Amino acid sequence: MAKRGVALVLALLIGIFLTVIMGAFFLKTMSENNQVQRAVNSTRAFWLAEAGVAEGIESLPDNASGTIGSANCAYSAVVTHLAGTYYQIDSAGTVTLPSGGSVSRSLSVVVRTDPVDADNFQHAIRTTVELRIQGSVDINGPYEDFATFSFPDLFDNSQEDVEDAATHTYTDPINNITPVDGITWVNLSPGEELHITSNTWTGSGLLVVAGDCQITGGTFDGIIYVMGKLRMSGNPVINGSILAESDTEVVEDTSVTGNVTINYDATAIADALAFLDFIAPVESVAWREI
Amino acid sequence: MMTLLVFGVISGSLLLAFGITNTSIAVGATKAALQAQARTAINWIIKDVRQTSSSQINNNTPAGDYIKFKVVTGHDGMNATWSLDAIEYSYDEDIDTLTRTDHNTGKTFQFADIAEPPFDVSTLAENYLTITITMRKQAIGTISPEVSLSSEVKFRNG
Repeated sequence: MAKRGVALVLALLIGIFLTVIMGAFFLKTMSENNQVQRAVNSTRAFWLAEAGVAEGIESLPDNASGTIGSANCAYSAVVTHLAGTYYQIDSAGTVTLPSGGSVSRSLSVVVRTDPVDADNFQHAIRTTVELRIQGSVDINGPYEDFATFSFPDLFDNSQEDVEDAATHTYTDPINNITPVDGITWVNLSPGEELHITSNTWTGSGLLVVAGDCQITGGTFDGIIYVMGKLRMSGNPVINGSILAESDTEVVEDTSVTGNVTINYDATAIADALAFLDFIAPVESVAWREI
Repeated sequence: MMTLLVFGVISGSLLLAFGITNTSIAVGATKAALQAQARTAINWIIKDVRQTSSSQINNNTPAGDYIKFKVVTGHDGMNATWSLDAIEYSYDEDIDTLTRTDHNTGKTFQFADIAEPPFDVSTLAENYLTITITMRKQAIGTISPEVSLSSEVKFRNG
């Protein structure tokens, strides 16, 4: 009987010993796991905040928010215009934990936009070839033909970047297409032409025509850039600047529609160029974690 | 007699197992603690270094065991604004300690058990700093486990 009692006590002792060891291992593993999870979530929150900064730059001057990977991984960027070309982006990355808690990291970044130089636009109308002016066309401001310029040089951005950022993009549009405001990009198939004919038509901003263009009416405030043949007649009124990369013919047709009027307007040009402020690469000038 | 022999063998085995387990747990626990300490240290350094520039560090005689720099605090509309005073990291190999001193607040913080100088300043010209935190600590007897964490940190302010 005594021997059996010893075995029982021994088995109990071994059992207790093993249980304690396993418990210690379990607690240690849980503790390490929690530490790792905290580190992972903190790192995740940091890069979410960085993503918020990137999205904030992309959506300047508007705020940005969203999630990455799952609804529990969110970023929120608040954009504040400081002064001139400087903007502050306050971005928070947040990882929501299954327990209901959350891990957050916050960044505050000041960025500087790179505005297009309005001095690139000094003429009411400017063409790369001969500019034929007939009749009593009214051009108020300097004009130049046989000029040398290119789209990237003038706008400090590639055509692709501007087209990507366009407010409106049309392909082979109907006559007197609207709306034309912000940045409007018009693509034309070979043989097609953009027609603005209505006297009641209005447009503004930057209008880029990738093809031929005929304007015989309407009013436009801003910059018109034509990569093709430009023909103007009738009585359109353009306030700002017109540029044409190809054959340009400005024809007055007073007998029918009155006079073509082109007014060099620095304000209209500046307003149009303002739409390009956020396309060019934005430079970070102050970065801090808060 | 037989009972005593069996009891002795089992007890001996238990003691041996206990000793091995004890060593294993001590080493494991020390390693886990070192990893946590290393992570804490490198996170502090990364957070600070990200907010400075390579020129800030270059202007304060950087070395493998020493960096000192100011951090960006904002922007005044013309230029980035910098902290009034610097943050300094100084490694003392005699006591295996890295000390962070924030001269703006006067506060210091020490990271113990760091076995080697943590900074590789050879890449400052490329706008990043390589940090390696190597930690070593006696766990039990002559066993001193070592953990190491490395990170390349890009300066966000040039």
